[in-house]
Amino acid sequence: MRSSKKAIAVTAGLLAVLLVLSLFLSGQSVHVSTLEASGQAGRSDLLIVGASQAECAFVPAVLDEELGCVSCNLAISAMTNDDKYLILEGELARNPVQTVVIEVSYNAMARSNKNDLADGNYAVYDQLSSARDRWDYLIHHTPFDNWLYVYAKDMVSGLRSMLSMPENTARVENRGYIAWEPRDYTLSPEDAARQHQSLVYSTGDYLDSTIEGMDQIVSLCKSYGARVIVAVVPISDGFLWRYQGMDQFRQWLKAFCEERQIECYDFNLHRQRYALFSDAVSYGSSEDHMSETGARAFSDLFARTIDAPDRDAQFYGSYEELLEDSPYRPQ
Amino acid sequence: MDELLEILEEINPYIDYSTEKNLIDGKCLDSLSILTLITNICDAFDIEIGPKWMRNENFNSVEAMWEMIQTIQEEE
Amino acid sequence: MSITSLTFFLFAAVTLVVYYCLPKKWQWYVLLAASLVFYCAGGAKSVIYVLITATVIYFATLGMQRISDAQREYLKQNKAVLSREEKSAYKARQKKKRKAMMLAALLVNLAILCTFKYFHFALAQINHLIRAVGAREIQDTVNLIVPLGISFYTFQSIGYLLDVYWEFYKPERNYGKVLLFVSFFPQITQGPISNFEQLSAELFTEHTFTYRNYAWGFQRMLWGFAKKMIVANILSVYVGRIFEGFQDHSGITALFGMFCYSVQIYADFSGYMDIMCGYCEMLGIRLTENFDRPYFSKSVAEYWRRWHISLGTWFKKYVYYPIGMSGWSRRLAKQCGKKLGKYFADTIPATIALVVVWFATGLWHGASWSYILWGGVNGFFIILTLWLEPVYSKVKTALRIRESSRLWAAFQTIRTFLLVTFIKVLPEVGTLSDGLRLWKHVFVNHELRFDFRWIVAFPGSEMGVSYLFFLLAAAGTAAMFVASLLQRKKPVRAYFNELPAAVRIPLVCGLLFVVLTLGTLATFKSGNGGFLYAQF
Repeated sequence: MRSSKKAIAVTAGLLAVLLVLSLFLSGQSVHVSTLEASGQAGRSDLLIVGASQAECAFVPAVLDEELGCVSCNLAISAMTNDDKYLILEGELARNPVQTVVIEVSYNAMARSNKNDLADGNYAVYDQLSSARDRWDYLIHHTPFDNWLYVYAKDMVSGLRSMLSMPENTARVENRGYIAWEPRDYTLSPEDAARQHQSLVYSTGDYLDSTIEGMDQIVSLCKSYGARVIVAVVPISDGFLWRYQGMDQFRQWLKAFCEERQIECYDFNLHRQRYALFSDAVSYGSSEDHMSETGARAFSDLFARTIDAPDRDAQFYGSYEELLEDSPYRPQ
Repeated sequence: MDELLEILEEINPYIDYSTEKNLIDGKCLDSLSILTLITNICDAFDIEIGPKWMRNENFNSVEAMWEMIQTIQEEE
Repeated sequence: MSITSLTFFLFAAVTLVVYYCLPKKWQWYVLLAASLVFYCAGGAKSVIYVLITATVIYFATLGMQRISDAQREYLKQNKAVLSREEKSAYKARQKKKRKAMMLAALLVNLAILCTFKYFHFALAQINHLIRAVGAREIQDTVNLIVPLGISFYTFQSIGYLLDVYWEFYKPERNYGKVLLFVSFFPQITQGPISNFEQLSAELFTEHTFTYRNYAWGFQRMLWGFAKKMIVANILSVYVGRIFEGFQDHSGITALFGMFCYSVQIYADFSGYMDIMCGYCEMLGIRLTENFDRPYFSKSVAEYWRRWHISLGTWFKKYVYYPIGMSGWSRRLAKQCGKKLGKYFADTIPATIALVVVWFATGLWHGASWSYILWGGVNGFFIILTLWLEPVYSKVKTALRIRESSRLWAAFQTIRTFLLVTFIKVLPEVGTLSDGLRLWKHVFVNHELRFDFRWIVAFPGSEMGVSYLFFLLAAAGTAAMFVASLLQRKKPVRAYFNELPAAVRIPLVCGLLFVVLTLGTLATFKSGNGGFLYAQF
């Protein structure tokens, strides 16, 4: 056989074997949304979407106890507005709810609408139960170089299914809440000192495509008649004062929400934040992600606030006002 | 040629220089030996061996080295 | 463009197909286009520096050749007319012109390299001095993005420049071919640093597709990907955790981490070589080998003849020999010979050359005192071995140690492995003092606890690596060791291709699947799996 023909035949054979194996394993892997997997599809009243700050801050069990409802946290690390829309679109069609909470941060508004983190790509991919949706997500929403990662995770997921070793048990058990630390974590004084020495953190302009993405999410929720709440999860005091432009962010967000007649609560500005959250205990090793202790306290606060009659009065008017009561004094 | 052989024998007496034709390619002489060889050749024959002569084929055998020395002497 | 990315796989596949589908005379054009695309993918602006290097050496080498040709012609025509002195004087003038041209090209390239690599380091040292005298520091506000592979392609280009200057061969007249030599993508990121004569014979010869090259090349690439994506990337996470907080681990764990680092860096660097040499083999091109089972070396000097071979060869040819053979070095040796004896006189030129080589090697690897010390320690052991050779011989004779004894060979191999392992980690932990503290920690910290996990840090979430992945890395390491043993007789692929197809095909499929799945996960876990030597 001519060299080139032999090479083509052998290569095609190798790829065919790989394809058959991949299709088989992909078929074995189970992809289902947190809502479905936790048995709450069709029964939920409140859904939360957002990125990592929401994923580790909203504890459905605590929200349910306070609000007397059934909630589910659909937030996933690195989730962009495109991803949030995709997930919500599917879930609301199956499970129209009364309330949707959209977690927003300054950081997120200045980030691209396209998720380029491989972990984030797979996490969203894994939530899509239809093969067509997954394929569509891969082609249109996943950067090319991350396809291999999604493929690899899919294969491993298939193997785990075959070996009866399911993944994501924590996410399903806690209805989407993922603790930032594997256990309750207290920041050591050395770690705290090191964090407070790190550079001032400032973000750029909000991206038009990201704002448009947020608009689409709001319109989607309103089309189902849901109450839309935009929430900013509080970050640690020390970290907050290394951001620049927080008041501009607050004003922009307020205008965005007023224009669309939706509620907006920036919990950085809640008057009880210094009483309820301390940098050392509520944030663990990450200054902008809550520990389990912080998450439980925040979820409780959130639940008590959103239905309180005087909720607007529970917040400072501006970051300038907040700084006057802040125990952290930047150098 | 005898003087050259003497220099080589002093550097490594265990090689049969009359038959060995791969002194460099065959790794019979290490880099220190080569440097010592060059230094001694330069002193003994009062020549300068420039980098342009540093090719394996010029040092692989006694005959090749001798030819190189003669060529340098003629050029100088 | 990361070598372990889907983009690269696609790029390499397309290049291979186009290379063989187009007429053979266009093959090197395909490689040139692919090399420029590859380089631009890493940052289009940086390609200007590659172009500057290629252009400068192109014109410099042609210029030097023009002078040589003119000289030859002139002397031929005036052979009968000129006296010996006139001929010598003319040759000296021409030599001066050639030297000036060579130096100008050399300085331009070294200036570019040194600016990008050493500007911040140099400024930091100047600021130390400024602070010492109480003056105000110079602010370092310059943001320099180091062009991809600048250390490799600059050295390769300088080699070509000096080869032409020393008249080893005539320069290449085709600018495109010179540009390809400088920018050839399989070797621009991490070498090997090739010689123009050897590489051009490969690049500019027409290659016919053969199944053997295709299959053998693919097998070597797959093996390289396995080493890099599985062994190196998994170990990098584990080793990183140990080095970050070695004070919190036992001395034995720190030592184990050092051994893992030795495996990691070998798998990383040699894995890259296997990938690129394998790919070039598919193209019908042979690249210089850069590794020869280095951890089986019996001395530090031998280790450096087997590790990063092309860099050692480059330094030997362009630094070691020129310095060692220079007139002043020989004169110094003669003077010292009168006082120290013949043996030491003979080693003086080599010693001076080695000091320069190892200082430069340290600096080439990194702009920091830890790399300079790293180079110095390597050089120290090599020079010490050189000087103490007569003493070693006497000791071996007195102890009746047979050089051919297996036990002795084993002792030498283990001793060398320990030495190079300790030297290797010096610049990797952080600053120079971090490296020295790690050394101290290994010997000093033996706090006893009734906890096996204290003695050896187990894989797990704290160490960033699961048991499965760690076992995978261990299996990969064992496979590498077995391959090294097999390679003593013939290439591993020779053994592999003797196996029946019923064994070969599942093995290839299996390894390919493991690399694509677990290797990919390990690569992304380790931070997208950048190659360690790709920072040069």
